[in-house]
Amino acid sequence: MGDVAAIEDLYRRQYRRFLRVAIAVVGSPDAAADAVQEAFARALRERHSLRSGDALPAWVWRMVMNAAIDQQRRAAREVPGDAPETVAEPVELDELRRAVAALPDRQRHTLFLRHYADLSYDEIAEVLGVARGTVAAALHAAHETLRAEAVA
Amino acid sequence: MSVEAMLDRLVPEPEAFGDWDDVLQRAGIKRRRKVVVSAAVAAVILAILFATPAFGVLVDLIGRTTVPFTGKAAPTRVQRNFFDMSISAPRGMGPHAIASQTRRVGTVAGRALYVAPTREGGFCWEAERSGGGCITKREQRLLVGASLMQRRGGPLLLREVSGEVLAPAARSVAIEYADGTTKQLSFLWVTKPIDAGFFAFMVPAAHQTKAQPRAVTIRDAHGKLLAREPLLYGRPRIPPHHVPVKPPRSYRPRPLPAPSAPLQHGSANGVSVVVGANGIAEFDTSDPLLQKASWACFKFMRYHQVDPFGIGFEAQARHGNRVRLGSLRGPFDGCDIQRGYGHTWPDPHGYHSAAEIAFTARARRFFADRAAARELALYLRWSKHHPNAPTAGIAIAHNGADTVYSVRSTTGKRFSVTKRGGRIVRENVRPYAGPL
Repeated sequence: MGDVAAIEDLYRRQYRRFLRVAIAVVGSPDAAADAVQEAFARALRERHSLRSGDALPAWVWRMVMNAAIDQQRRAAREVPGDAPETVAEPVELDELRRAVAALPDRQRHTLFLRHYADLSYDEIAEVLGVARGTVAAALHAAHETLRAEAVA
Repeated sequence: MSVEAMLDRLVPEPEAFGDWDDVLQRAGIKRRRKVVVSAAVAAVILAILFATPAFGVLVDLIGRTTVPFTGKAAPTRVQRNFFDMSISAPRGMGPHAIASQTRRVGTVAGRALYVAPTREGGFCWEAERSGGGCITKREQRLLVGASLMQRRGGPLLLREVSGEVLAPAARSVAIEYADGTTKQLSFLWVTKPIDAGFFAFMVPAAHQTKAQPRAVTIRDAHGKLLAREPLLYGRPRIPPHHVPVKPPRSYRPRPLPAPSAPLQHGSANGVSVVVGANGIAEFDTSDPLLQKASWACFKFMRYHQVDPFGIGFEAQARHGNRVRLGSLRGPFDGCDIQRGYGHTWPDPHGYHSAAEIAFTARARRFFADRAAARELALYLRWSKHHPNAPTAGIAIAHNGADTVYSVRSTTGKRFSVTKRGGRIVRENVRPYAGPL
């Protein structure tokens, strides 16, 4: 079972990794920070439901991913307002952003957890609830797509 | 560039830090308090102390009050002060206070005391309407600050003494006066992660001119002196022996690096600017007036959602055409060149800066709003001294005892100042135009 101290320890040690992945998913640093806070609050509230065999980090990562995806969906539903427009992004970075956004969800989330959180294939598989082979295939496909975009 | 490198640039590692107290609050969990000694137990301890030779310790115990670092969250204004210390400091020199964890832990000399831990194990503190500071290294046991005042031709008066106690064993703080008497001070000891004590003391008028404070001391529970910090004020003594004076070394500031990619470009009013992700801005203007002006860039960020945090330099502090924007990193929202605002700008009323360069739509709206707020602020400042100050563009409405002055920005945002009996009771222009 997860206790408060263990969850707090995870938060303090890995906050930036959680936040970075959340930013990648949500797009907005503020909304991403909110998602991380909400995910950890939920982890605290539901800590008694964590089974003894479950790994705490993977369980919390799952909550953070779910919270970030929820945030992103909420943001997508909102009418575009007067968000600041960034005009000074290099072309290749802008293209990469579009290419990443166009990836299938599973590939995109696998890529974020691998690249921004530095999780192992097994950890990613546990977070996303898929087989290890699926993680490897998704990562390979994502890299292939992005490389093709970068070369084009 | 590899896909991995580009992914890094797509989402750089954030420089943020978490707020665990906020998580606890969202989860509805109250932080566990330290065990509180009941009044009855405390009474027994006091009785024993009075009845034994340990009575001497009692004074020490009364002098130090230990408070947990779990007080009320500090107002945003204080959090912002701590946050700004790190971003306005030269790179690598900021205290890195965890602003979101700033707490009101108690009072010293009747003033609210706010403290925040820093990422490197130190802390920042601020006493309301008084001093404050940050400790990054716990090398000393006692740090003392003094507030001095001198009336024309008069002696230098010591008005207030405040400081930090960094020795965990300290149980008492005392001021030594020049006449040999001492005054015990009470101080607050804040538990981990702060692990430090704070005191402030208003020097009585009788001790401001005669028998002035000479030193602050801290002692442990046994009365052993832990540290003594002399209070030096007045003219410094010059050592009698001859000290050979070394010729000053010529100082050549190292040239700043070029702005690094991804770059942001912009131009306005004969000024162009390139700002890099590394926080270096390179301005280019042939206008001699603007070359002598203050150059700055800004960005909207936490605690600065309304008025962006800007940082820049006067002409004499710059390195050629480049400025390092403190610890701020790109992307930025905009840059501007200011020489105050008056009648010398392209703008006939002088409410815009000399050059306003917006990288984002939000910055463009900010410039428009700031001009409107400045217009209103300028009118109110003028009208203090000039009863017939021109009111063009200013709407004035009377509502009972209130007089409301307002102006509308081209973005539609309305700025207003409400005066009652000659005093400002409500306004929203300060973040844009400074104090009225």
